[in-house]
Amino acid sequence: MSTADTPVIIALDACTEACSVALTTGGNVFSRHAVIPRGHARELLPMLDGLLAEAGVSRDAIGLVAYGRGPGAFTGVRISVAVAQGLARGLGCPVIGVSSLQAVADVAGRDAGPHRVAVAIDARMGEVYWGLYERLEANQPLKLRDEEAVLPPAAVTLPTGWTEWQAAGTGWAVHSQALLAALGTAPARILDQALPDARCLLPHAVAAWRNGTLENAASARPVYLRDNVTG
Amino acid sequence: MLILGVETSCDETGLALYDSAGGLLSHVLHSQVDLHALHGGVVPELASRDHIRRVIPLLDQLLQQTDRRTAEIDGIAYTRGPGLAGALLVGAGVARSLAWALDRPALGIHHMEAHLLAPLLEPEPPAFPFVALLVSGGHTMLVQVAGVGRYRLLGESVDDAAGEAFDKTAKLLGLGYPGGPALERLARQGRQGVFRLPRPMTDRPGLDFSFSGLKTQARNLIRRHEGTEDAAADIAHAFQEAVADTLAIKCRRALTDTGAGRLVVSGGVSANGVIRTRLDDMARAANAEVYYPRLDLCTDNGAMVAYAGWCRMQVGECDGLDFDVRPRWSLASLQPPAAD
Repeated sequence: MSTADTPVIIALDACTEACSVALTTGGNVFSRHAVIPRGHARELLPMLDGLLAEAGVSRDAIGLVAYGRGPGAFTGVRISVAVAQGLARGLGCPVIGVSSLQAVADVAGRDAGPHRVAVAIDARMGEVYWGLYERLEANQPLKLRDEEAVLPPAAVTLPTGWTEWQAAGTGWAVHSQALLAALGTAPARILDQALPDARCLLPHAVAAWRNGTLENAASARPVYLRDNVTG
Repeated sequence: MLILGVETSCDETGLALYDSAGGLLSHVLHSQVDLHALHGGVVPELASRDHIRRVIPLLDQLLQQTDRRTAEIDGIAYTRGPGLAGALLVGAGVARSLAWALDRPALGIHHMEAHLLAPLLEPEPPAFPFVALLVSGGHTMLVQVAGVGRYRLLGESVDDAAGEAFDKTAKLLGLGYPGGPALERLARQGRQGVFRLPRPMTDRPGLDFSFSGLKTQARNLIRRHEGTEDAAADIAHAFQEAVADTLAIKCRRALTDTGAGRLVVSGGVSANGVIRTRLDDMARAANAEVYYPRLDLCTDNGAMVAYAGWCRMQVGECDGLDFDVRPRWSLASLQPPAAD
């Protein structure tokens, strides 16, 4: 990641049972990742504080905050967004939200080769958060194909011609049978423990910085996908 | 010392700036009442979803109104509990991370402590010690207050909070949500003495309250007199009288038991005019003084949180970097302000 033209960027994610922070400065990347269900409010800022100390970066050097914007556990998604809002407003810097589904796809497709990743994050209530990501040329980012969705495992589909694909995300641990039955085809491998990692947000933040597609603190918003919550 | 207060414990997003030299500089509030009215009560998930859209814009509005910048803030206080966990976490998350970014101290505040200290924001504040009646949609409690952080719970509701009983009875009367103010308006048209409801738990010693039976008796009256002209207003009147009398009887008892000469009344229900009059009358007869916050500080707001924050942070009290919330949190467990 060439960073000559980018500021110090921090990334954070609390959208699932994982809690993670990452930082890039001058081409170096620092990160912390912990699986701590219900521990995010307790650990997120200490993790970030420790990361800055480790990297020898002062907080006023931070120029961009990337955050996991969901979907995921509603409370975790809001912790992620609330902290991004508070940090960005206090630091006077922009923010960029990155999908949790994208972050899981990035964990699965970390090497730069071609990939197709079907991401399913357990959404409880018998549903999954679902997103299909593909990288058709080497060294390009994994890109979302179609739209993210929340749906029952039996309702998922793959585009025609999808071969050599991978499955990733906790939805595959909870609903693998139903997902495979619905798709009628098996993935090359299943990474059903893959969780979002703030490290994976950094390249998206760099790209957004270069493209100027940034948000301000007030416009940082969660993406829940599940919007009917009044039953 | 300039303190930012952030309140998101239920269905109001409130922010305020309190300055130790200039007092309350300003407070801003977004009420979600219309959002929840469609559902007949507060939907916690909707409350959380709304808070996260409101906090930063309200902060910007507050700073603009007061011509202040974030860099001038000396400390940030936020409601840590009690309240709705998801709603609390939004305010706590924004407030704590904002404080970290600004390299300022932060402190999680007990919502009910903030309420009971709110009258101290008035030009003629009560001196300690006093008895506080905290009466809202979520709480009804009597507290003996010796000083900041020196609280003894004298009594509380064993079931519904008074405001909850108001809302539920209003709903039974077809008044929509939130029904407290609507019930008060309807009760003005009601006649004295047509119906009489009991004054729950006043015929025995103690300072606890119970309001759910009162709501049930109101429901029985509503059923029995369905279709009778004026019955709704008469029932509303009887219900409000019963609540007002009950609160007055218990407050008088609390003043007598503690020997306190001052009563502080706070929380959303303390905006009710009939209840205020009844408490004023009681206090006059008991040779005591009653203190209320101004009307817009009776309900949830950021000003009381900023003020409670200042009371504690001025001596150096502050929290670490966690922003865990406490949806259930005993007021009596608080300690006096102390430097960390």
